[in-house]
Amino acid sequence: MKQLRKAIRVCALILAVMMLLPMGYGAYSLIRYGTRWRTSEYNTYLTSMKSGVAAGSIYDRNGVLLAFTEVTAAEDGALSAKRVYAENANVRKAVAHAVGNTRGTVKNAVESFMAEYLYGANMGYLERLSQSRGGMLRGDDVTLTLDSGLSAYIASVFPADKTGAAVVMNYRTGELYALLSFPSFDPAASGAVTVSQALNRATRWLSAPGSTFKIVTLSAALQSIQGAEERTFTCTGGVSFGEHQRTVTDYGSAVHGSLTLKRAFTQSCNSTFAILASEMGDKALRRTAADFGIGDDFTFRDLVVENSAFANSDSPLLGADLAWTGAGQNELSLTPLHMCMIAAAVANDGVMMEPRLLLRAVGASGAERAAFEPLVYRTALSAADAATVREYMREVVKSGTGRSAAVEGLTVCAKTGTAEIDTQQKDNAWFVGFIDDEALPFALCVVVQNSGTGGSVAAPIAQKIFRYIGGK
Amino acid sequence: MNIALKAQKRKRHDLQRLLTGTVMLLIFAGFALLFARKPSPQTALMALAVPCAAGAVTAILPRLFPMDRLLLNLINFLCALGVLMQYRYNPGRGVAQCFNYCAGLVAMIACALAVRHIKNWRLLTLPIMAGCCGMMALPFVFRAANRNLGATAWVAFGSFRMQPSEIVKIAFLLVMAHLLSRRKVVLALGFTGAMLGFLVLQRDLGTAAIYGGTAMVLLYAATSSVLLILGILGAGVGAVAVLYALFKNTYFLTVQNRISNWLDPFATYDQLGGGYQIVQGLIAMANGGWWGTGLGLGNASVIPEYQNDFIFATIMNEFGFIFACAVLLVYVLIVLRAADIALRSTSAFHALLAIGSAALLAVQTFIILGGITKFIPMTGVTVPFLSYGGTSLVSCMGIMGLIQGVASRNERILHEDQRLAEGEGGADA
Repeated sequence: MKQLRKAIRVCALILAVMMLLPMGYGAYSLIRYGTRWRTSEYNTYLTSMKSGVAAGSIYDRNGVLLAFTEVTAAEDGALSAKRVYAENANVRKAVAHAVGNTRGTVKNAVESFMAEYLYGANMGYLERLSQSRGGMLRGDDVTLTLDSGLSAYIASVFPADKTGAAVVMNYRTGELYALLSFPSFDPAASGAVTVSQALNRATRWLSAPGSTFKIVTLSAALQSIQGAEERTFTCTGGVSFGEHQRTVTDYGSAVHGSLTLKRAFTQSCNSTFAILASEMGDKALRRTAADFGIGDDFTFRDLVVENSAFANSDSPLLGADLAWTGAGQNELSLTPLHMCMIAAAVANDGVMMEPRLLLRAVGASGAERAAFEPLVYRTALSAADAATVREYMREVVKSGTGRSAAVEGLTVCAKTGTAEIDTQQKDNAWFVGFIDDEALPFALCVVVQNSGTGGSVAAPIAQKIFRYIGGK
Repeated sequence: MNIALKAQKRKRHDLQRLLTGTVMLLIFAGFALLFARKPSPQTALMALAVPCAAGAVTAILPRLFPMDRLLLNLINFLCALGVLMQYRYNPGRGVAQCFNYCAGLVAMIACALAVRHIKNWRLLTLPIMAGCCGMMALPFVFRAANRNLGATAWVAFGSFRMQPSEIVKIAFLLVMAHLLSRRKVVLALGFTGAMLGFLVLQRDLGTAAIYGGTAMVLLYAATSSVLLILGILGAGVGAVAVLYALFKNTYFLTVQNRISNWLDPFATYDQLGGGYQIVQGLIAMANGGWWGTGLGLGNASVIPEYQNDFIFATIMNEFGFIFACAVLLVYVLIVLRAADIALRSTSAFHALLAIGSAALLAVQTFIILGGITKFIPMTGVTVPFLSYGGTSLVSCMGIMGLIQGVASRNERILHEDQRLAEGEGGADA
């Protein structure tokens, strides 16, 4: 009996702990995924929650009204609510993907993802009671980190007939100043919106980032290959790898000859980065990529970003596959926003900030529901390595492929990319960069699909944006 | 009995009365809220009748024969909460659940009395085992009752439907406790194997997991042998592997389906038999948040089986996650109390019976809560005491009756010992 009693005690303990596990896991998921589930398109409760509530207004960081609800009373006294978007059509179209509309055309845009605030889900009982006397309940007003003027300007300089995306963020705080996707649509117009127009390419479009990824390969080389900075490489326009002698070629079969690591970076020499990638091996490159958040399950508070991937599987890449990955091709898939975060991390001494969209949410009674605070997402690389990469990126604008992004009086650092996509006639032009200046801590990413090289197509657009930001 | 002991007992009774009062108040408040939203005479009647019934049961039953008041209070709370939730979405079902509760009460008393009074289980074991096998084979006879269902687990007589595997749970516990108290480990293993075989054939994997988990706990309690448990686990994995190889493309398609629904229910949302139910359950949980939408304000009825397997999601939706955690703690408390009763019992059979019953309820709660919160793959089993349905409630109350029977027997033996001790003391004086 004594042994039996001991065993019963053990059983009781195990059973009790076992029963607590599901709820523990439930609490974890509720914290991590609660907002995503609540704002999911499958949630029918949202519709019932929305009825009887006039959604709060949405402002940009300068107080420009982006959306508000117009409540009108019919003759019989019945109230009806109508959502009205920004007055200026250019602004309306520029922020359409970030703000979205009440029909949920753009998935997980502010209009649906911040429904909790806009429809006043956190309203207290007394507040509800005192408000309901006036007719319709009013949700919280939301102020976004976006700058509608900057957004409209970017839309005006982006090639009108092209698809792509542009992201501008403050690399010290993570505030998103612009989040654009092209082509856009007008939320005020009643016409149908195409699938292409509804897609937010800044956050949901995954693609190979081309040579802009060399920022990551360079960081990995600084970490894992000793004396990489002092070495000289020889570029003959291509390198062959593996049994089948598949070749990594340089863009336009350019032959860069003998060059240092810095020069290889500024000239965006594929051969050199292919050699670096195969020298350090899959493990080292994968680890640094993971440090930059590639492969993470992104659960940011304010927005939904598609997860980036290093490769389609976890099995180690070999030969030409690994070499091409080092040059930013192969199976790499990142969003423009994530690429912007990578450049921002380099600018911010290696610390990657969480991208934020919400500046504050204020209830109709004046109660503050949420206020912005900068959040560190992860440390991508050491401050020393970040300084080296920054110096290399500065050189790209001074003497390399990013010369057409240079702005007089601003310390612009950048990396261009030209991603080759098999199914497209032309390449995707990528550009990531930032201003190395404490007064103007901005990083950006511009992608123009099916257009040409990063240096010739994306860099001039970035230059205009930098000029606008710097007031030059 | 000395005076100090009596005072202590009275104090404990006062605490129990407080608990009963709290349960009554809570349930009354729930129905009153429903009444305030939509007044009807029936709701008013329920608001008075359900708390009064709960109070009356806790006041009267322990006077008939000694039983554990705490357990009675806790299951009354759960059952009344179940009735409230059923009534909130479907008044007819709420009323029906009251009758189910009455049937459950009868089952509980019957089981408790049986455990209290029957001494010679040895003679009964073999007939019970045969009866178990017969019951488990029944659903295969009633083909029509199981059409269009995932499992072949039902038996129907006219409009009356039941799942034999629910009722067999009670017999299973009795048989296992008896066999293991007499150290007949091989026979116990064989019996468990037979039951699992029937359940796998019925395609009722959730219930199979309940039987298997309970048997495992009982085996460990009886033998204290970790090796045996590891061996059984290994054999189980081996058996599943063999079955998988044999029925990869038939039987295991459903299993694979469930696993992919578990890994990413949103991906299979639109498929037939896909993640729809799990996704809506998770959304109901998220809509409720920490504090719930409020009773009568949620919309958990979009979840298929919201009144049965997903009743906990319904509670999380309207009462919130914090309240749901408190409800879970009630279950944990029931299990710990049952373990306490097992520890107090004087015979191996009764100790094993109590801990086995606790294990069965615990495993069942774990399986369904794990499924709802996406902790483990979803297998449809009912939530003890809360889910709608007569068989489930009768079975759970019957199992509770087994625990109550052991508690009652403990009490009687304690009394007899005390009387003996007092008698001896009297002789000394």
